[in-house]
Amino acid sequence: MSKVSSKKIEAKQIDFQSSDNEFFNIDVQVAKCSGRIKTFLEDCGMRSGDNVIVPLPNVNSEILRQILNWANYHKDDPQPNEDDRDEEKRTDDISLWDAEFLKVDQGILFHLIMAANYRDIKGLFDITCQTVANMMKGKTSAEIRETFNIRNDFTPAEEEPIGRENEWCEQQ
Amino acid sequence: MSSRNVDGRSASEQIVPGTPNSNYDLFLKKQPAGGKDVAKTFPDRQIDNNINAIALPNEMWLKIFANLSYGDLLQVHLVCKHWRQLSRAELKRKGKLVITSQNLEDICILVEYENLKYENVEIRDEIDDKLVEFSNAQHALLLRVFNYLGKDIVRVKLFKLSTLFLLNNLLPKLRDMDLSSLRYDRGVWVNLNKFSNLKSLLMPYNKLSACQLSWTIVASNQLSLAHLEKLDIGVSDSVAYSLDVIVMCASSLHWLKLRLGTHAYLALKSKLIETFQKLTRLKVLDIGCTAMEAKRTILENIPKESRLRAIMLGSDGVDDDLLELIGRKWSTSLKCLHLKSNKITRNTVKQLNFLNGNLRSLQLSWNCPPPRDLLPSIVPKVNKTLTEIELFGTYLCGDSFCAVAERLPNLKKLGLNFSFLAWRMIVDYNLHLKRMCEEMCSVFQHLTRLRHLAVILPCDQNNINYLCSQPNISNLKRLKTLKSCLFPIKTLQILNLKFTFKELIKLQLNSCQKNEKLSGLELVDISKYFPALEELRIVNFDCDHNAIQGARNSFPRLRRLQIVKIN
Repeated sequence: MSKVSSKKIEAKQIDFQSSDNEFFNIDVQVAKCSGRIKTFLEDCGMRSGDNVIVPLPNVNSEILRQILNWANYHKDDPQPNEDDRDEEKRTDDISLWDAEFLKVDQGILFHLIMAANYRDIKGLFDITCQTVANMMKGKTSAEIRETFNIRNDFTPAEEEPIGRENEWCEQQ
Repeated sequence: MSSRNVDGRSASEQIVPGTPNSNYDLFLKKQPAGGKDVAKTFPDRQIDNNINAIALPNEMWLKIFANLSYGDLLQVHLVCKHWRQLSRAELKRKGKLVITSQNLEDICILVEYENLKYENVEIRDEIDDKLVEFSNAQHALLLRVFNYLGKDIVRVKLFKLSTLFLLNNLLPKLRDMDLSSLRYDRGVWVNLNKFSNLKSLLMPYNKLSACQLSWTIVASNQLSLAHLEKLDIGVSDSVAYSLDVIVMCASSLHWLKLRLGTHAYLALKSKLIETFQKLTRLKVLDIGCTAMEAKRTILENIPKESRLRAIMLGSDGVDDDLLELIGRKWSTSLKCLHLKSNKITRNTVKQLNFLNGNLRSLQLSWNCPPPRDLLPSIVPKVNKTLTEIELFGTYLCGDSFCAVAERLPNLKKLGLNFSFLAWRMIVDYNLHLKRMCEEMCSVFQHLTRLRHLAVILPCDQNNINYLCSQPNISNLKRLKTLKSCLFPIKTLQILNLKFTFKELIKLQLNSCQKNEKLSGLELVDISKYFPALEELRIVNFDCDHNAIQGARNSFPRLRRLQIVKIN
């Protein structure tokens, strides 16, 4: 999109309506962290003075508040540039602020993952998935089951082998 | 599909990465009514915590699993049936099938019954560095296995050219070929033109096979190499074929590792110049050669269009003029510089300082004592770009690492490697030991984001109290590899910390005193800190090999254990 129209959007605020009918008045710049909402706003071709309410029927106010909190903190983050692309993956590090932000219980964490995925909020999706992965690292299968409250549905015969094909393999 | 998926169990038989997002809508509708009122009273209590792991759609789990190491995935594989299905693809992607003469038959049987897929395969027809020839019968088995697996394979490592010859027609997708450990096979010719997708080729280190292979490539004009992006190649005495191989892929080459003998350089200088003038797209250059002149000639002749991002100059010294040349040509593009300087002068420091704004990775070795302010000069202020520093030397510089640790908030990899023999000569040995401890503690205090740490510094039993009173190694929660002496780990024991390095895969323990002992029991004691450990290397300890092997089982994921003596 052209620079002129994006400036128009930047100057404005929009309202989000959560599934439980709470309204959040926020800066468009913050809203655009969601790829989906960014596309939506661009497709609408809003003019200044429009009073836009975006209903979000599948996000409740608690999750929405969390997401907006995150988006507001990260609104000025630089976009990853072309140069970084072929470098070693750099996203595997969670900033202190994000780590603190994600000190929530599992239920909320899973909600955030799904909302971030659905709304196409890449940065949030990456760190939430990374956080769940961190909860498994270095653990045995039994400890992982306990962490996520998963039932062991293997019969003893199935459970035992790690699979011969995996014994033949090594980490690359 | 989506409605079945919500209960999480019936979906277990199928992996559908594109599971519709309507899951999410369904799942939020389960929220108790009146959530709004509750939210106003207890904003933190509103979420229904019944949302559990089972409710998360498959595609999210796939994304989560992508963040795990091979060892973690093996555990995920054992959690439940659903996860076994889900993690299979990621396991295959991260793992590498190693075919040996022992498991070949089993693989052959399994491959015909189960739909196995691998992208990476190594055919390791050697045991403990000794080549084991595959028999004719085994070759037939190998062909059968590759009839099934070949179509998916993108990366392969081989030890015998005859194996490649055998499988020539079965690897249509092959992208990376690692022949670095190839043995000499008399009278075998292969046609690399069969591999039209080849992007990366690591040529043999064995000189005979290298000559043989490069001659074959050049003589039969194997043009599939014209698209090669990555090449590791040796140029040995007066055989110009290897240079011709470079010329063949000159217009596409991004990454080149050249191992050049001094004789070869003298004999082939003009051809070398011609070759390097053609490399217009090079980004990474790694030159291993003892002659400084050769390095100079190469760097001078690389055209300016090549925006070099990484220059590695091997373990033989370079001088300030060369460094200046690098600065002149590539100061804006260079991100990674590895070099050894025979004598680090004020001018060297100035050059490094000049390059430093852009650098992400710096590796520096020296033989003579460097200027006292080497490190503060290289890192004069906070530097968020630099993520890797490795220093190798016999002496540590005056103002040591403590002085700059705070200025490197994004450091991921740190190597402080100082040989300890030289330390014996230092007059006030105890004072220096204390300083080494301070070095270590400042690392533990400031560099909490480190993923890779090597601190090969001398330590002493007398320092342990100091180590215990300072920030300790448990600050470095996310380490993946660690090389150190026992002391930082003993500190964890003494302080009785409940702590694990849950991502630490490789550990090297170095002894730092002569005849330092290590018992199996000690190893068992520290195993609790390393639940994810896959490779353990024990260097220069005075230990009973059987006792050490006996401690193996206390590391649940250990795959490789090496006990070595250096010097």
